[in-house]
Amino acid sequence: MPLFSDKSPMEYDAIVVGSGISGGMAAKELCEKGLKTLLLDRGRNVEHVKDYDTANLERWQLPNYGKMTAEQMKDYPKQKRTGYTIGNGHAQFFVKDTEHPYNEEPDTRFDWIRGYHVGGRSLVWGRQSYRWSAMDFESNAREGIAIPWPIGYDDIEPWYDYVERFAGISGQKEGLKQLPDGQFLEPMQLNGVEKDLREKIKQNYADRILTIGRVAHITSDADRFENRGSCQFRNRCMRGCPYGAYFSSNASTLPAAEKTGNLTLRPFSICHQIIYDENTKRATGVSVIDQETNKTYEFNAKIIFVCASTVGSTSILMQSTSNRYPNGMGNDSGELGHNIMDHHFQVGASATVEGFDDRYYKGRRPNGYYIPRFRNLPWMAETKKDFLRGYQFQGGASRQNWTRAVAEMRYGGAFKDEMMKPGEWNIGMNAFGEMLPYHDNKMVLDNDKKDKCGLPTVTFSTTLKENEEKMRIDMKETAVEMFEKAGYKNVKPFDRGYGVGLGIHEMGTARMGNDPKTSVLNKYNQIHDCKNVFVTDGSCMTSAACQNPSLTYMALTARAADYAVSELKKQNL
Amino acid sequence: MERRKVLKNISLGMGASISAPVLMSIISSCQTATDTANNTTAAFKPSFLEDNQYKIIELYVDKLLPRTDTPGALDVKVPVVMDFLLDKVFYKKEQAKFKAAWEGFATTIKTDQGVEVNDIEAKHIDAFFTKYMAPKDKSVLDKAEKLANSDIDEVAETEKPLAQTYKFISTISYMAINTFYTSEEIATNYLNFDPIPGVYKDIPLEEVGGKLWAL
Repeated sequence: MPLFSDKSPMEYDAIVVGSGISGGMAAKELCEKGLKTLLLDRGRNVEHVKDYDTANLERWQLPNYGKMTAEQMKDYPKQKRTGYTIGNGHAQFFVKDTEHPYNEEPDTRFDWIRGYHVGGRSLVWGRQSYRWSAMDFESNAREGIAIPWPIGYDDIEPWYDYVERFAGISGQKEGLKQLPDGQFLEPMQLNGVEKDLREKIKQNYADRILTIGRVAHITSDADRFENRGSCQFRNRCMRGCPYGAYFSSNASTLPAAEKTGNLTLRPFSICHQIIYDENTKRATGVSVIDQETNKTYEFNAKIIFVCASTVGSTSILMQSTSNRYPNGMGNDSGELGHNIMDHHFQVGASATVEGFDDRYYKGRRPNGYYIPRFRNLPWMAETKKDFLRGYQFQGGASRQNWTRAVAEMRYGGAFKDEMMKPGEWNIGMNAFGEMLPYHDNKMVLDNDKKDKCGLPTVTFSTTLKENEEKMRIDMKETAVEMFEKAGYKNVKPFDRGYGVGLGIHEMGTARMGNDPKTSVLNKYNQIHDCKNVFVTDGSCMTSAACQNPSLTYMALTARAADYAVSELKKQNL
Repeated sequence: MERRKVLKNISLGMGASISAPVLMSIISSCQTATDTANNTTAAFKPSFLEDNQYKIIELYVDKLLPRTDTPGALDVKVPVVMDFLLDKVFYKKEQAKFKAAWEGFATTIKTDQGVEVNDIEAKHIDAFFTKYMAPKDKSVLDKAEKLANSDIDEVAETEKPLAQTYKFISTISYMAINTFYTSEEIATNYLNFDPIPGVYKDIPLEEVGGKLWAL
């Protein structure tokens, strides 16, 4: 990567803050359109392949027999809330809470799970990639919730096409109105039991289907992707993929940006403020603290893309105060920091399946099955429920391993050898539900509690409300019903509890809208009254839908970058 | 793992874009893992467990997962890993719970067999296994599971030793079984081990000889 050095300029055509899913896409697009671009990231550099230290290690090759010690875990009291993020082999891609603290209002919880390094969460994301549908962009307006989206599906559709072709999304076309098909590579395969459930759902329901998850993994046409290879089905994605098989900034957008010769990457650069010029009504640049030296630098550019993640970008805008923006840049509406959404989940069911004892699978598929939304579909009156919006299910079937031995309390040589054979088939599904935007689900800055750089920390106040609680009851009941109707055994519901943020899909704190009085960004992700600042990460979202959101961030970013460059050429910025 | 096989898998999967350092690390790691396992000697000094407790754990896991024509728990040094897990991975609260469960186990052995925990020999473990493990009666198994997962403060006073005994059994079984089947020896030689499958597909079980995947 072309790293910033003493000889690098302090002035650029564009500055991109943050190098995750959105920032990486912004950098690629701006560089490819000829703009000299400075890409800032607050954390260390992570070089593709070279810095994936654990990518090829087996459990017994990892330190501490592959376990995190109690002493190590002390650094991650909040990051560990997911139960899977802080594991030996990939904990290096998550922040230590002891180094990067945040606050929660009493009796509220917010799980702010993140990593500070080049590539950000694009290295460790779930890679599930779904389009939003027209319904998702229309529902706020139709139901009178919050504010209407300033764009519709038609505005974003060509940009979905565009980013899907670049990222490589594997999936099965299903022709659904609520989950539009995309530019898919070959779908991954369902195993025998999952195919059985697909058939049973087709027989039992008119409103829903089961399909293979749509994931940002290369499964075919690998030649089309520069420096990337096909998925090897190792399922060690969170350690970084040495094949570059899944889409990450490090494997995909950053090398593309580098290739143009227009990129300068500056790691360890904590952007804390956007500098505003009252005369031109434009931002002139950003103020950055070097994490290694603690020195402050100012970089200037014609346009600025703020892609520091939902909470990160919103914090920067909040810290960017001026006479014009005493309450934070772009905050004329008072909505900055409000309306935090996520996808609430950890509700579903599990079951055992008989009749497939002679079937197994080969490979470790980094994906599962997907049941698209089937509640409150505007074109099917019978899908209407006593809550708004809906949810999708993600799940998988597999054969039990030796963990079954613990419950059986068996012992001895014969038992030991029997456990070297696969056990019965288990199947599970977990719902992901849409959360509505609520003004009082919010983040604020705490200027009394500073971090180690002297910057304010963030305090969250978020709770689930009645609509989500009602939805959770339905999620559990439908999961049980689908398994029971399929004839599966030992059907058990679960609700493992949830705190806002746990879905790691936090969004909505600098929302888009047509009216500057109620929104922060316009329909091109520009700050309403400061046109050369674009915010294109999750903070721009006006509602949450129930699909995993990264693909939509990519598409919005590419669209905004295209608009930014055309406006720049017209000298409108 | 065989060096040639690694190279073959890599070349099938990727070819050009995998860097030389990573390639080297894959190959060298095949060797270091073996070295680590061999360096653990018989004169192991436990950190968490008392020497005597460690000996009892050895007797226990040898009964749980004995050597047959395949290796047993002691062959892959399960007690060494268990001591590490107890010492370094368990939180303080979990360590305290383990100690309480151990006391429950000691009380049960004393009550049933009149032997102090420090004097336990293989025959006492045999008798303990016969009485408590693998109950044929489903209601006993259900009760064991319930007690093993219970909050000890909510268990009736008279049931507490039994509850602690089942907690001991499940904790030891979990650690031992987990460690055993994920050890390099078992995973690479006795289960289907394929670090780079290259594909995901539905297959007949017989295609892999009826054996479990290691990973």
